[in-house]
Amino acid sequence: MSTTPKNNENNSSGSRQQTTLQKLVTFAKGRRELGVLGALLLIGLFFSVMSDRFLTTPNMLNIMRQVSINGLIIIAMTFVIISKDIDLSVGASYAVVGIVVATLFTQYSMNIWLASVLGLITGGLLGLFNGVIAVKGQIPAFIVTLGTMMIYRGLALVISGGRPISVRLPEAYFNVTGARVFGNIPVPALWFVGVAIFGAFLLHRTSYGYKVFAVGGNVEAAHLSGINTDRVRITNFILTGMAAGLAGIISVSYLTGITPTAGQGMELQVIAGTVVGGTSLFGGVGTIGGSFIGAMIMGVVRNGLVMIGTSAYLIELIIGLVLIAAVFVSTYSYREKR
Amino acid sequence: MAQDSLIRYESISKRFGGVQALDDVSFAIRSGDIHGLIGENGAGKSTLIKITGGIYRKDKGQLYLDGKPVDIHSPAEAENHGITIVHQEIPLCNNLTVAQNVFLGKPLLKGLRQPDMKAMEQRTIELFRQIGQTVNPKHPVGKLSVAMKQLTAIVQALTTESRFIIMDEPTAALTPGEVETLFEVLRKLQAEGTTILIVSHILSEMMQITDRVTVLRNGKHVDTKDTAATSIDDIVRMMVGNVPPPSREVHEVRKDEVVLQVRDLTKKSLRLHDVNFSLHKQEILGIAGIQGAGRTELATCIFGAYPADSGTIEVEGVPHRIRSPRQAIELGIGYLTEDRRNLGVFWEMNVWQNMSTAIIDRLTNLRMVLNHKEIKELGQASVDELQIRTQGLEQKIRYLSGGNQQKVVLSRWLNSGPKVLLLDEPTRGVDVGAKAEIRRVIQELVTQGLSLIVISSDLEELLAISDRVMVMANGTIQGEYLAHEATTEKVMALATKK
Repeated sequence: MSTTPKNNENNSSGSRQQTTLQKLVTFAKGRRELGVLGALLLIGLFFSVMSDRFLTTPNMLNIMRQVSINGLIIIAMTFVIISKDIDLSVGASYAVVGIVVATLFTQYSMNIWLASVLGLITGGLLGLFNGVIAVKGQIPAFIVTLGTMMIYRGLALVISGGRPISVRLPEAYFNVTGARVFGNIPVPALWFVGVAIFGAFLLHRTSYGYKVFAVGGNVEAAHLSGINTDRVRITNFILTGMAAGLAGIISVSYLTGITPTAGQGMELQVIAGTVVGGTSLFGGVGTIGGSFIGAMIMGVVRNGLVMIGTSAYLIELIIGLVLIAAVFVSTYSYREKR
Repeated sequence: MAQDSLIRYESISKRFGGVQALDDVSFAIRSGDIHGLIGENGAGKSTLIKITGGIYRKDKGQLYLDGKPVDIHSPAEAENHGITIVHQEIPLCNNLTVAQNVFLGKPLLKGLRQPDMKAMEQRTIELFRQIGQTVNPKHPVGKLSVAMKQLTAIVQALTTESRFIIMDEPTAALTPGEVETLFEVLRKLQAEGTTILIVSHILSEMMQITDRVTVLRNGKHVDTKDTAATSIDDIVRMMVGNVPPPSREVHEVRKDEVVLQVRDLTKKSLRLHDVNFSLHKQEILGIAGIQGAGRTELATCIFGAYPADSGTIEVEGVPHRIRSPRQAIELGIGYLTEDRRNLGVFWEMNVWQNMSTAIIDRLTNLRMVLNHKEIKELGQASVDELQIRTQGLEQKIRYLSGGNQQKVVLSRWLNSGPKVLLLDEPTRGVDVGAKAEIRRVIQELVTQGLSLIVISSDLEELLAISDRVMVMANGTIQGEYLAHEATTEKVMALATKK
């Protein structure tokens, strides 16, 4: 119960300060991502103390690079989950697009830029297929994308004949997709940040984003308010398909190749990152800022655990605990109190 | 009188954050009475009920049961004391049968602890007979009417030998006939010695069924009176303090201009057939009828939520086949749903977001980027116009009272610039003060040139505000009356026609 000297000196400015403080509190209360940010900072602090190699510029840039592939998809997944759907096929879509682009480039000697554009379109079509089946067929997205997860994986295996493909890319292309620029900044991380900014604009500043929240909050009410709910949901699936495709393309470039089994289990990492970032699986709640930080948390924990020399066997276990703890903390304040 | 009272509240107080929900409330409920609890939304009724049922803990004060002080810490303890709450949203398992629901959590067992379905079904029939009802115990609860669900909840209470049943807004979703049945059941229970506390907004019903009434206002106890010694006017005065009664404003109906003409509208899956009617400019057309008559179905069909199989809808003389709410909105039709909780409000959203849904595409620059300046101006104008009590446009709608939530949803439609508004139960579940304000708004809208279709189960209210009343039964229009020739009796005669 200590008051600042300022408060004691001047009562009127003291009360005004309090209202500013109160404003800050209400501001903070309405924003889950601040809690998630706090968690990220605490985790970062822990690893900084435990290891001198953690908080170094090269390692930070490394983490950014590591999270960028999942992160790209997490941004799109945020839209899908806010509107109360789910997309389990992103890992497989990622592989399909990577394989398609690599095959077009190596086997058909197609221009890599054109191949990438076709790859993005392929990603969009995979998403469109998910969306149309789930929305128009009125089948739960969980089931539909569970099915297409296997179908798309099969596609990747069939197209590639089950063999990994390696590529030798032109330097100009590599420079804008997989390289490191401006003193070692990884380009994939720049793509992640760019997509996050675009996603934040789309979700929080446009009528489309508004509709995503409306559909997730109450799909019936949204329909009765004249919102074309089917179109919003299908568009969301196209977004995740394209984001998975972009991730696939960037990954082909960075790793100079792709295997048809790449991205297995990625969908769960992506959903975990989204949920850690405060997006509610019950729909209607979530932010891009939160998802960005959620993606970072997943990467920081994994990287930090390696840095402090944790046994590889323990890492998955600990990440699972972090996932549950993070969601518990971020939803705690929203539970009805009695 | 202490001997006589089943339950006595003494100086009960409860605070939620900055809100004093109950403030030093003291009164007693006599054993064997049907006691009414009345007050506006936010008066503290729910809080008091929840304290009695062990859901909330009181901050201060003492509860006496049979003259002995008790502390009820959980719903289970309340049940042990013989106290049951029948909530407004009835917590039954829709996938289970009536008998399974009645014995939920405490099944009758046989042999190796298997549930004895036969015995439970038999007992269910007996219990329903005890309250003068027949039931098929194997019927899934999900397919029952709201009224039967309520009776199932009451029968559930009978299995635990409750002596004090609290009913929260039991009649809100019932038709007049069902209300009558419920009251018969309550009187039967009373005759067997059960004490009943009933919460309702509908004062005429309270006058009819209760022995005594207690009025709360802003968390304070106003008075407890014998029902026979009071009147509706008296109660309203106690509820709201002193406010003038709503007056009927005279407005001119433009008989020469037909805004909406519905011809031979049929929708089989909604059991609507051959609906014909017209709506004039600046007219308030009331639609009366009992539950299941097809009133809401008609509104949703016109609005395009369930497009019609056949028939046409003419808007200002141009025939249309309306296939989606979006199309209806573009044609200048708005629909205020009867089910605000599930179909109207976006609970995770704030006030301005809830106001903007129907016209969000118009509130943008470049057809995409939200124009927050315009949104805020429009929102503030609505807040002022409808006198919505909110901390601001950023306030989450869940923290508003029912009446103010309703005004927010109403403003969603007013902002869409409609020619025709379909208002489905616009005053259901809102308190007396908000009711009067919504009626005032309805009157104002027609003088501004709008045409309204109002659906209400509160027949007296409907007759009071409508220029013309149309009666529906069995999925079609049975007839209509002009306001001055309509009476409750005439309308009910048509509404219950087979």
